[in-house]
Amino acid sequence: MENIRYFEYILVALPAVMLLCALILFMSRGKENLLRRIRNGTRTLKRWIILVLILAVAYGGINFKTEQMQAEMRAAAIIGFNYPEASSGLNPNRTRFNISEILSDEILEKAITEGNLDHVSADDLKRCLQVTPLKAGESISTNQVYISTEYQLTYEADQNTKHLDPDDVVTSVAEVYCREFVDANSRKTNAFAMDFSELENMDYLDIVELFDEKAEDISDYAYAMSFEAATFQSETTGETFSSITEKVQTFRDVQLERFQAFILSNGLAKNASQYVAKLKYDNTITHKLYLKNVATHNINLDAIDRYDRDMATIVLIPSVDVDGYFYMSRTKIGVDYFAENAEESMQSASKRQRSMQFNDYAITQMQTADQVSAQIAQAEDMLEALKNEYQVFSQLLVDTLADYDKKTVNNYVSMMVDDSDPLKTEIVKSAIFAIIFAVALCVLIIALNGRNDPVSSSVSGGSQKEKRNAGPGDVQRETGNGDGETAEEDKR
Amino acid sequence: MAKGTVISAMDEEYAVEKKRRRPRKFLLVLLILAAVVLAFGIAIWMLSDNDTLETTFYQVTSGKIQEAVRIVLLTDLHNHEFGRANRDLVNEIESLEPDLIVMAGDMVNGNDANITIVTDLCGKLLEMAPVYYVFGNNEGALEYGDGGPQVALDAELWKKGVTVLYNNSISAEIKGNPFEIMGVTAAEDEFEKVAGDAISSFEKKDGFKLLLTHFPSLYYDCLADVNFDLGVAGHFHGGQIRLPDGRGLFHVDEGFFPRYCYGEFSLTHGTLIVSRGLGGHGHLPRINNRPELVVIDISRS
Repeated sequence: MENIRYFEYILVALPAVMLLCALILFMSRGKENLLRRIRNGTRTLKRWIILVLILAVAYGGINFKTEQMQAEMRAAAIIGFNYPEASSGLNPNRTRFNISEILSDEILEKAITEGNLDHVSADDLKRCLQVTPLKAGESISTNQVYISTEYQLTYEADQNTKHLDPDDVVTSVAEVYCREFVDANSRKTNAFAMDFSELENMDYLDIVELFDEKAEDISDYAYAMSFEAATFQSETTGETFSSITEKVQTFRDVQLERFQAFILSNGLAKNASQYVAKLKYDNTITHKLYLKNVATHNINLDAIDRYDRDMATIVLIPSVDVDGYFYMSRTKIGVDYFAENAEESMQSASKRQRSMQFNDYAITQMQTADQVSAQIAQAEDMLEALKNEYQVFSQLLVDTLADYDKKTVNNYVSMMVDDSDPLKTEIVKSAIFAIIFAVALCVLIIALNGRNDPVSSSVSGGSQKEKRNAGPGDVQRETGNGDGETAEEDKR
Repeated sequence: MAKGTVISAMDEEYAVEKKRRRPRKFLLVLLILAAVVLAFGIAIWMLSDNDTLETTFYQVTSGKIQEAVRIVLLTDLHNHEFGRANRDLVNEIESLEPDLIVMAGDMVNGNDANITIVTDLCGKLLEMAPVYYVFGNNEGALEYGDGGPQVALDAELWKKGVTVLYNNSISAEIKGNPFEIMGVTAAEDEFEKVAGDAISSFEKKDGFKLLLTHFPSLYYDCLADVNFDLGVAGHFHGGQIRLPDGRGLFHVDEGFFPRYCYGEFSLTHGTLIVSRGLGGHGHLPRINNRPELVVIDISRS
């Protein structure tokens, strides 16, 4: 590969060297008789023109072959990023985008494994690959730097990688990168799955709580998605994100509530004494915190009462809101913070009180219940139904998200291997080089032939061959004639 | 001339005195340097000691035991790790071949939502023996503390298969021996109200009565006369700094020289074993106080 490249350099340099030589030859004889020398050289050229053409065609042919050999060792792919943040140089999750990740060891090693690229290391590939941004379409303003959303991945084999098919290399690397990019920016939905084996060690009321938390997560996610993709309906599941939210809400409000009510009304527990102890412990600590909340509330109310009325005078400050509209802002003063604190602590106290009342009710029920086996069996049946229902809607969300991602995330990045046939380009390129070579050769011939005295040949009217056959006396004569003619021409 | 002679005599005297003092000064500097180096060395040695486990063995006998039982007691880990993912601690416990593992609280930090250190540890220990856990002040703060992480540690422990005790007792059979295991989480001021009834019924039971609590102070305030066979506790971290005579120096709850700081104590009915704990909380280092893993061998008397 290296040899071909050097050979190509020589080919390109050849016309340049020829032109340089011609220029030196012209310069070395000064400006005098330049036109005549050119005219003489042109006449000589006519005799050599066939050879020039043959050499130019040969040169073009060699150039074409070299180009073709080079092209066989090269390949390219274009990777385009089609999400809004791409033009800001960001990933879809708004972290900094870095195209050089395509040449990371992780990507290259995966490409080697998956593309069956034998006897090559990630470092070998890295030396042959290059990624460059393509600037297309958008204009660059003076204060805004254009960030490309398209990149060209080019591969050029070297000694260590010449056994590989360049198209295979580029395709493997680009495909692995695109897949990893999509994976990295896809949603991780495994959080919605639930390990039901964990429920075996948990008591019924804790199971209700766990189901409720998990269902709430799913509901919140689906609800948020319903804003992002309000009109999206999955072709696989037939669901929209809003319909999933409703299903989950129904699960929480109806099935889960019913199960909890059944457990509480019958005072069921897998280990009643243990669970009662837990609830009592819960209540002991909650009660302390409740008292703390009530005390905080009272202290804040007391502080409000003691607040100096004069200090609470409202001050209005002219301000501008986020939309740029003018309004009068009321300053917050200490009493506002006291009021806020009082309200927060009262809300917290009420919440704790409700929790304690719930625990007390559960404790009473569990302590008085007989733990009838038929009821336990019914609770287990209800639990199985809950598991099935949970699995159904969590899977619905996962499938719907996958469907949605197929339409969005998978389009984030596109890859296109540049498989255009370079033959036409190579022919044109070789033809241009052949012309340049021919011109350079012609110029050189003209320059070389201009070294003989141009006047003698023009006066004698004979050819170079005749001149070479002439004796020394002839030369002298010719010189004399020539001088006269030169003088005459100079006068003119 | 006479004046000059006097001055030169004084100079000579001064020079002799200077020569005499020079070795003494040099010795003083050397001593100070040695003391500084020694102090630094001791400090580094003591602090580096905080990552190496010390296993303390206690022997308890009881007529209620048919076959000897080995209990491993862990307290006050405070999310500390001995080796990556507590590999060293797990290996040490595995080599001890316990029949029962008990955790007497403060295995987590109240302000740190990371409970995986403890849940992962419990997962590994459960493969060796049943694990019983009683909450300390840090677990309470972690689960319920206002403005804290409020992480349901007990739910995660139950999921793993750990038995969490909250002022209640349960019956268990360890190597064919009937055990009554009780965990007390109540503080002294609310002990009667919260745990009074449970303690009364615990006392009436027949098996080997193992009482777990995080707070040693409960044993001199509330549990001194309670009928149990073996009680365990932690909390004081061995007094944080262990004096050369073996006494623990300080704990914030009890002040200087806390009672039942660590070690074995005989109470009215049973034996109390207090662990120095495995980790620490806050910036005060443990000095001359290596993390302690307690092993209690109960054999037939």
